Amino acid sequence: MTARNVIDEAGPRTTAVSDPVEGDAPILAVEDLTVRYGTRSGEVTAVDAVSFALGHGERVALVGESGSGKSTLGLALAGFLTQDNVHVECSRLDFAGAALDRDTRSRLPRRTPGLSMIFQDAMTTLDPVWPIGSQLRAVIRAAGRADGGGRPSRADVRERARYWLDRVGLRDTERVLRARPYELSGGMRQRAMIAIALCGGPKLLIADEPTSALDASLAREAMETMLTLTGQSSTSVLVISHDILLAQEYTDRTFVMYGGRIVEQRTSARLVDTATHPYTVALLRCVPTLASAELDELPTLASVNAEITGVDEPTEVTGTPEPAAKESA
Amino acid sequence: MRQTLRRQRWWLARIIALPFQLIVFAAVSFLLVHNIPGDPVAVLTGGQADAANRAAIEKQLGLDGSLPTQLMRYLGHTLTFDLGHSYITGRSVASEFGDRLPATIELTLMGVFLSAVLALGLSYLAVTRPRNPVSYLVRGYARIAGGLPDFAVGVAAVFVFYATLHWAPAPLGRLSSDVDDVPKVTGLPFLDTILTGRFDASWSMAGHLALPVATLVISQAGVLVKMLIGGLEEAVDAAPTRFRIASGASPAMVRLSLVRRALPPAVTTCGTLFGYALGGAVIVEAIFGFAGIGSYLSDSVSSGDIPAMQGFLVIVAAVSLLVFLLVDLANMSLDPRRRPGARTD
Amino acid sequence: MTSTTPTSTTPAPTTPAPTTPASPTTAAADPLVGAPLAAPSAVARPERRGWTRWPRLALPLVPLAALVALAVIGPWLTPHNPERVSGPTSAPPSGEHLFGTDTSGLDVFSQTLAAFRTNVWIATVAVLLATAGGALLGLLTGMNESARGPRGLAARLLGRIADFVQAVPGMLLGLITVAFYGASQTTLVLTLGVVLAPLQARLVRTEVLRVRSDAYVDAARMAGLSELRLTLRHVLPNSCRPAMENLSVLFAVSIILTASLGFLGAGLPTPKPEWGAMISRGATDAAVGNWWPATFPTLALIITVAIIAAASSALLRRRTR
Ligand SMILES: Nc1ncnc2c1ncn2[C@@H]1O[C@H](COP(=O)(O)OP(=O)(O)OP(=O)(O)O)[C@@H](O)[C@H]1O
Ligand SMILES: [Mg+2]
Repeated sequence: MTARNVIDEAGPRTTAVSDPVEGDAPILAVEDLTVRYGTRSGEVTAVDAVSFALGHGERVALVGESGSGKSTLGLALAGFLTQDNVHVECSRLDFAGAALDRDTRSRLPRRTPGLSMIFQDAMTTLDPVWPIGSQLRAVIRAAGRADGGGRPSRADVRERARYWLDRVGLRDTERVLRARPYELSGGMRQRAMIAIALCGGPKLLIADEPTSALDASLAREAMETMLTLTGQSSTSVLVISHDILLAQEYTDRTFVMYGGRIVEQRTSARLVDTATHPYTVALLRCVPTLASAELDELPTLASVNAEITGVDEPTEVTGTPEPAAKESA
Repeated sequence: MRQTLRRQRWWLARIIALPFQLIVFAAVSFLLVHNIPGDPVAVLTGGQADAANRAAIEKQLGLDGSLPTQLMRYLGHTLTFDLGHSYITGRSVASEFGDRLPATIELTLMGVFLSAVLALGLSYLAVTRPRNPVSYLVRGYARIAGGLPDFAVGVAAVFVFYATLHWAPAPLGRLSSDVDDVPKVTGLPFLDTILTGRFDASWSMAGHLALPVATLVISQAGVLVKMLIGGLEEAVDAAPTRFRIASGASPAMVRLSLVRRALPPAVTTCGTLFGYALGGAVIVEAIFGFAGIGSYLSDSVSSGDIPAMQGFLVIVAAVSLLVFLLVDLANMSLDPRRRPGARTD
Repeated sequence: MTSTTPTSTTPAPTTPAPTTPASPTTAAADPLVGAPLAAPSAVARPERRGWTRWPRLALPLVPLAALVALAVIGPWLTPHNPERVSGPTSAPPSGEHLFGTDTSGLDVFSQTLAAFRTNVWIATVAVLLATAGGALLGLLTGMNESARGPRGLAARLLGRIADFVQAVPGMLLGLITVAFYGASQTTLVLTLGVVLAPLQARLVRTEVLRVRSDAYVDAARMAGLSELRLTLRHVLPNSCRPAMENLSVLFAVSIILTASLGFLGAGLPTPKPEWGAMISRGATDAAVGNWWPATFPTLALIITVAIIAAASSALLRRRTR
């Protein structure tokens, strides 16, 4: 396995970032990233002054409750928030050693070379009207051209497409190449999506809940495929997930997001021992373990919360702003 | 062979169904027309016919015998492209249409084609460059879509560009009076000028066509722009687009994928627009003095020429059904999920 | 029109937060208050009270009211008899003839005003007729088309016929029907109704097919509600919405169709004030540089369409709140 450049607990070393040595600089460095959605009922700050750095080949899990801003963070990093009502600000956004400079006039996002992203549901993510083979070849062709090797030959592209399907474990290559997404099974689609996302040779892969549309065993397989392949090419990975166990198991570090902020950045293996933020603690206590199997009832987040603060029931809200109250109902 | 046939069934089936649809339509229109109050013989003779005379005329018009016989006879004739003879002029309805329809179709096609091209370009610009000044104009135009009647646009165009500015030629036909007529080849007037190498006539005709086609485009394209803006805006933020971009497909491929997914509803609208534009063409022909089915229709409407109008219904329906067929085929090739038998969840 | 009372906008008391781990808990309802938490997603919302909101919503309806008033009393406001020659021919706008006169000496202002009644009335009745007919057709086809036996067959046949009517461009169909049955307000209204009904039927049918498979309809059916009651009580109210949203578009279409027919000479007989016929007569004037006889009816037509569109979008926005 290739060497991974894990950025340690103390956070990104500012000295290291300015270091001209490529290997030491983080692949991605973010400072004070804020994303606000303008809605009809006012502004919503979905991501609030988030700063972090990601090393070369490092794998990071981003966990947090629903609505904490995980997807928004991922989309902002990839440059997909071009809508009129979304405001993205940051004091620094470096990718692969250079500051990202994005065209803000175009509504159609441009690609950040070297940054790939996969999404939750392959059924809705893959282009429904083109065969898998065509989608795969489009990426391989573009990647070949970007490498400066000129236009790769047709046979070459075809060969590479077959090779990639094979790598993600799709054996019936000829049929898959000709099939459209709706003609494949859920697991096959997911693998095809991973193949397409990785065949361009990205340096960073952002995966937004890549497995939550699959059942447990398929999810594991897909996750392993993804991580093996990225490991071989020492691609950094940012996995967004709800499954804190899965995240812990497969990643180097875990970020916990709450209310738009990253409230915890820990080494995954030691998350249980080192977590300090009450939300993380609460989250970890809800995970079923051998010890908790003895209990009559698995603690839920709310009951844990109640314990932390010493209140039995969530307090009745009196002066809540109305939209928030409506959304939770 | 059988394999190929099965794979191609989605479009073969649609094409084979067309003649049957047409026959049903002809039957329906025949029955509708048959139930119209009024006595064609009385109309024709001014109410002066005696019994013997009447029988002769009825026979001549195909109005003798029971209703089913009449219907079968009518359908039989329709199948052989015989649409009967005009009550008034006695000329064959089919040949009258053969003379006039192509010109109207050409005008309509020019309008629809140009509308489609312009609408695609403008709405793509409006969606991808929202802060461009042109985009604001395009969006404003889309908002009043459908509220600009073609006759008003046409009359305004004549007033401004002919009566006031004198930029456009007089609205009195397709050719200036000093240009000789062009021999008929296909019946499509503009195409004929090119096929016969009469480029002086092409030039003159282009000048005469500019305002009418612009009228059609301005009054029709708005609906299309509105539709496409909606579709493209949705497609820009759709997961497939994002995935295409993120995985690293070339910008051209991203654009192609975006447009292909946003297009089907607009293609359907184009089909509907063709119908509107055909109606619009009739109006435009009236305003600009063009020869076409417009004047023929007006004449037969005012003289109560039933075979002509019936033939008109059948022919317009045939054209419309053909257009809908093309629309369906286009959509089925753009989006394979629309083909019958495709698995969708 | 019901005004929203202020009390109805205040939030209902929040129910206790659900007790699933992943449930979104609102910031203030979060029992974790006091712990060193990140600032919750802030939601700033301008205060809105019933009485400040009302005029803003009612504003787009003022032109609508004016339009209705004009349609009702317009013919009594005309300074000249719109159907009689009232001055010199082709006179430009002046104090005596605000919008000038046309080639036969009719007062354009009086004609435009009087035509409000004709055009708005025809369009309104036609749209209502088309919607009622379309809803019925959509319900019948939607509820029955997958049934076996003659019922399903009839429904499918009905659907096909509607498709055929749609296959012929509305204006041409209108032209021919008017020619067959003679031009009168009744013919025009019925023709427009027939031409437009398939559009509404298609919208309703799509919704019916969706609603029909919804769980609550099945539940009601299990509970022994008769098919008719079921259709009227549950399916109809839940499948009308797109058709209602389409009303303003239909209105525009029928105003323009009526005028188009008038323009082609298949509208109401000549001296009867009608915008399409006026524009048609004005077209010859426009070709020789007299702009007024065609301009004013065109403006009236466009403004009417715009008013209806604005009012309907305001009403719809309000309903979706
Ligand atoms: N397009 C949008 N417009 C307005 N607000 C939005 C939009 N997208 C997200 N939000 C808001 O931003 C906040 C964060 O949303 P986000 O989708 O990033 O959450 P998430 O952590 O990915 O949740 P989940 O785990 O359920 O996917 C939420 O409060 C959400 O309501
Ligand atoms: Mg998410």
